[in-house]
Amino acid sequence: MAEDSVTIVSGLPRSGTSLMMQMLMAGGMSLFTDGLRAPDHHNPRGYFELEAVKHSRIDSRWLAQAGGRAVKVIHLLLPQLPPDRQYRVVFMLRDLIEVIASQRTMLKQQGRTGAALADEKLAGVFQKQIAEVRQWLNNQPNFRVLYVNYHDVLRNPLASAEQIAPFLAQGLKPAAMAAVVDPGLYRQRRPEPAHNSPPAF
Amino acid sequence: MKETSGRKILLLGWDSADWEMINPLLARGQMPALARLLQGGVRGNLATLQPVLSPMLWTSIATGKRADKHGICGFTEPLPDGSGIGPVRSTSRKCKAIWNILSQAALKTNVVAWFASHPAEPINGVMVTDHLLRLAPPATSDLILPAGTVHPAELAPAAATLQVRTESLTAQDLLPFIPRLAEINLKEDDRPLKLARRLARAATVQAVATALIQSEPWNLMCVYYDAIDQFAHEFMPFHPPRMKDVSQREFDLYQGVMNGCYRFHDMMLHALLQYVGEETTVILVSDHGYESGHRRLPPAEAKADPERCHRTFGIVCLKGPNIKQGERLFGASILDVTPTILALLGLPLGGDMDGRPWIEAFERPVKPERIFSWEGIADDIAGLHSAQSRHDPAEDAQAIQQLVELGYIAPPAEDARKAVRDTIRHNKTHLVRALLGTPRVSQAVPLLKELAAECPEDQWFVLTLARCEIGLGRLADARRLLEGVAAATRELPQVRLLFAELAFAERDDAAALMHVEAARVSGVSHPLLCNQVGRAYLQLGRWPEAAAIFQQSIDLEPDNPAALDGLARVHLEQDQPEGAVEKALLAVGLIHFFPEAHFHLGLGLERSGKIREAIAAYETALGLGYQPELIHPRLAVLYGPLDARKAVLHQKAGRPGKRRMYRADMKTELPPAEGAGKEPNGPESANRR
Repeated sequence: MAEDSVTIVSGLPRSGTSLMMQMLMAGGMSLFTDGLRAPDHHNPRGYFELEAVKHSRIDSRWLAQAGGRAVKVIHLLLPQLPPDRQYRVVFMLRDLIEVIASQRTMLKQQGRTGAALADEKLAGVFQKQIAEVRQWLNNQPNFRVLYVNYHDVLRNPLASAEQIAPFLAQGLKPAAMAAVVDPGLYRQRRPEPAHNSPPAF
Repeated sequence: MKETSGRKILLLGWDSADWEMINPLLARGQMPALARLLQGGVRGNLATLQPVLSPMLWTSIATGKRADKHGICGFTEPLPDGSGIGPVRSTSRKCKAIWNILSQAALKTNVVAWFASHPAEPINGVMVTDHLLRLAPPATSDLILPAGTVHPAELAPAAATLQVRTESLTAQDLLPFIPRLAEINLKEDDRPLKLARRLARAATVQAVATALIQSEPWNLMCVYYDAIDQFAHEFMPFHPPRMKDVSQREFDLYQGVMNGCYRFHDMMLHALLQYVGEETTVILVSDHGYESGHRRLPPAEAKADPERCHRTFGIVCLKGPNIKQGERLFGASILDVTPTILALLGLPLGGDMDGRPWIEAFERPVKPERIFSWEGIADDIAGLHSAQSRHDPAEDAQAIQQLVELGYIAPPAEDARKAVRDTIRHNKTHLVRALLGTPRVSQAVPLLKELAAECPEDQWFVLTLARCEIGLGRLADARRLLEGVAAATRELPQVRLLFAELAFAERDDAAALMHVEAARVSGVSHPLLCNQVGRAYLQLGRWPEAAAIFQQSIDLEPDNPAALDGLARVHLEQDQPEGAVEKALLAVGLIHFFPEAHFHLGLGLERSGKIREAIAAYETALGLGYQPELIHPRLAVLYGPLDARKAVLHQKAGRPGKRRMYRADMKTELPPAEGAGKEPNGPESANRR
């Protein structure tokens, strides 16, 4: 058991991080959340977030209680985590156009405008952010990372769970993890291409 | 010293250097190294670009492109994580710099302290970035520079040891600048300490340059010194003659600082030139000048608006194996530096570059090749940052804003958010100013609409938008904008002149005259406004009034190409072609990128019977994009007896719907004429080859 390490679920907002948190919980993992953000239409089962994570640059005391538990940290905040402990990161990857469409829908329903950028430009910025974070992660000896494709999880939840459980070494139950995946929540689909599309990154 | 084969170029940048400061020192023999450079080479004014802001200008010098193409639009930019702002970075540059082009041509470049060069690019050569100057050198020997300060990284420890600490300077070092230093209480007056800090920065640049010039092979070496500008912003108010806002004591103490600064640069120049051989072409440039005489702003105004201290013309001089000696260069612009370096090295020019090579300064004529663009060619060996590390800071900030709105990251503190907002707005404004007066002015319109919506209280955006709309022929939009500004604003002379411009476009000369007269009554005392009034009088056919106001403008600002061109037009209208030629030559001698003045020069020459010279002037105007429908038919007529093939070409090109790109430096030679070689008096031979 790797109880001394902190389990992180990361990625862009709307890339499947909440789904992954549900899978971990179903598999038997304790989640570190504060419940401040209530479930809604976009995440009917909840967001599983911890507000303190956003302020890690100036205050990372929350990590003292995070050992052996899973916490959601979006990609840009990973470099703010202190280097004095071990982390295992499940990093979610999803088609960026779908991610942005989902973010736009969510912002619109909240009455917000979001970035004043065309989707392609925003996708370009997100792509660079992800690439830089991946490069940064590659150079951190205290981070172990498993990249998980959101579509793979939806297509074959059990196979994904069987990859994730041993990576985290927390004794998780893959069948239970897979059972919570509900493809009905996959709403921001890109039109099916006529040929094989390139990977998201 | 490690050697590279072939031609070598040493490019030195002295920020803000100005002939008005240098000439008296040269006359007194106090800049001997520069004097030797000038004696053996070519010198001239170097026209700057708007806005006169150093990061934009030095990037234009290093790319041959304006800011809309190179993407560096200010001193600062938002940090990639949106937490604040930082110095503008090389990752924001959108095109190749000269060192990238040379890298892909397998030539080596050493770059020292160039503006907006951090983080260092992985070029073929060495890059010590401007970030080195932002670091406080440690007092101990434990010298570790941040990543990206030096390329290749293994040279970083050596570069770190070359940093000059302010604390290491002694009173002896400051005495040449402030001989009465002992009289100053440093607890009450920290200016000597400011001087020491600037001196230490310059000494660091010099130390790194001196080391690299000897130890690392190079074909091009670029060294940038910011000290003259930094000194000037603090000490120019004390330069003689004494300004009325400066006390006698301050004047007595600090009057020698600026001259000392220039002499110090001459010494640094002398030291570097010890390490270059006869095969090296030395190019010394400044990005703009600096007001040093009676046009200096009062110190408080100068502090509040430093850009207004800058003069339109900087300096250029070059000396080398293929450079003429003792001649003058006319109409040079900072955009020309990169094309000139490419021509000197025998490399093709990029068709998307905005400048031209100074081939008139070359001893042996060259005809540079031209490619469509250097962008997108051999990028993998150009020493560029990886695609993923190149950023548009404004787009980054938008993406961060989206994540904040989604609730996934905490919003930055209000002061940081304000700094980011202000920086984006300022940089967007700078981009607009860079686009004004270029053929790409229409690109400024959407930016101005955004800015006007964001800052409705700032009338500059609305007024500038109106001016653009007039230029683009959207007169109803322009009128709506102008009539929407506050009544008091509408009475300002510059706004009255905008109304006059609109009235002209609407073919209402009576209304235009009314607005012009109203503007004059309100008071027109700035050269730019005088020139606008003069142009209005020209349109109204009031030649004496136009001549008088253009002359008034020249009295206010002698280096005034727009007023000179205005006088050329007056001469043309009054059937005085020789006078027109004289004034138009002076105008294009100050700024080469002045298509209208080249056209007026052509008209003057044609009417003086100097047909070959007129053809050259018309072709230059055409090459710079001036009204092809007007020029092609004239060229067709003039070429008729000289070159039937070209006459036909211009006849065809002049037909509606035909467009063909001409570049001044792509013109073909005319067949020799009887009496060839006889040029009209003046500097035209330098401008029209």
